[in-house]
Amino acid sequence: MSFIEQLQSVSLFSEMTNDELRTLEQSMVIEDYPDGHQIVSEEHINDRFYVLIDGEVEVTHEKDTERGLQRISTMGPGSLIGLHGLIGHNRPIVSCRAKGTVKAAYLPSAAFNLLYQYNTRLPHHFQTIVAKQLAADYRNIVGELREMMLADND
Amino acid sequence: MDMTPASFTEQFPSIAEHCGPAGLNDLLSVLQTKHVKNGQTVTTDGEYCDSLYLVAEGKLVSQITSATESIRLGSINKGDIFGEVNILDPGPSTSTVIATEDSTLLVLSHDAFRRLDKPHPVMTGNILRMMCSIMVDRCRVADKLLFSKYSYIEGLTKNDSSHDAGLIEWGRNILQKLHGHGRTQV
Repeated sequence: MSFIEQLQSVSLFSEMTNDELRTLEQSMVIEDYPDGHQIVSEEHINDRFYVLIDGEVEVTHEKDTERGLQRISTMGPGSLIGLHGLIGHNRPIVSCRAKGTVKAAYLPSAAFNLLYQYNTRLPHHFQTIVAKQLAADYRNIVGELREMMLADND
Repeated sequence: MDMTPASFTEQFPSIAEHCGPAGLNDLLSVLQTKHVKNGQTVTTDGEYCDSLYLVAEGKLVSQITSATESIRLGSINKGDIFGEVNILDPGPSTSTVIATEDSTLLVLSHDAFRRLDKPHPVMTGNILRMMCSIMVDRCRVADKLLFSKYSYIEGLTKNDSSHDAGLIEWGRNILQKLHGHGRTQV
């Protein structure tokens, strides 16, 4: 399967034109990771945005709790990893580790910033996708927080 | 309300810094002015909204509500913006915003913002990035709060054997839902 076909298999990229995908092909890197590979860690600033193409990633959280490492969930193909690093150049708030072999495409934040200098539709399209995902994330978090806060006040 | 490029730049520098002169003029031309009275609701938690609001005058409060009560999240003052989630992804509002003084708001709708894309792609792209950055910060704060609340609940269940043992499972379920498939992992 070609790079572009692999990207098209992820819904995030499915509406992009071939020209846009060809530009992304020059900016993104697809890599295979072995079982147990740490993709992002809460301990380190992350500057890559990953799209999981194949395999599973275990998500854990280990800060601000007394119980130590907390296994939260498993993510599958199409999941996005590292958005906050891409936008805010921050440490992730969770860690992600390959569960079995994993194939992922990543975009370094420097390449993301470089895309903007071309002033094409692609970075705008990409930014819109990122923004929508963040908006959905924020709605989820606020929804859960609301549930917890209202429960606290019962 | 007549908002000049100079007064807009003074009041909303975080947006104006991304606009060239032509872009700023076009942005000002699509902003709608909305006057709200003290006590009037601007957005309602859970109800559809597609706009970003810029507070030109006045003061408002943001809160989340249930059928029986409201929890105050914070004040929104002159120069502040709210509704960035809704302009990016029109849908249910994340909070209820009510004016606590007579206020003047500048409203930028999702459609108006999108119409600026073609003539000013760099400006809208940069504003988009700025709003993403705000959301990243808010996600981070809210996420931290969620985890700390979860830890608190876990502590309660550890220290009090009579406490509802289902509570810890409930907290865990919330975390799993929050960080499950389909959600970005930061």
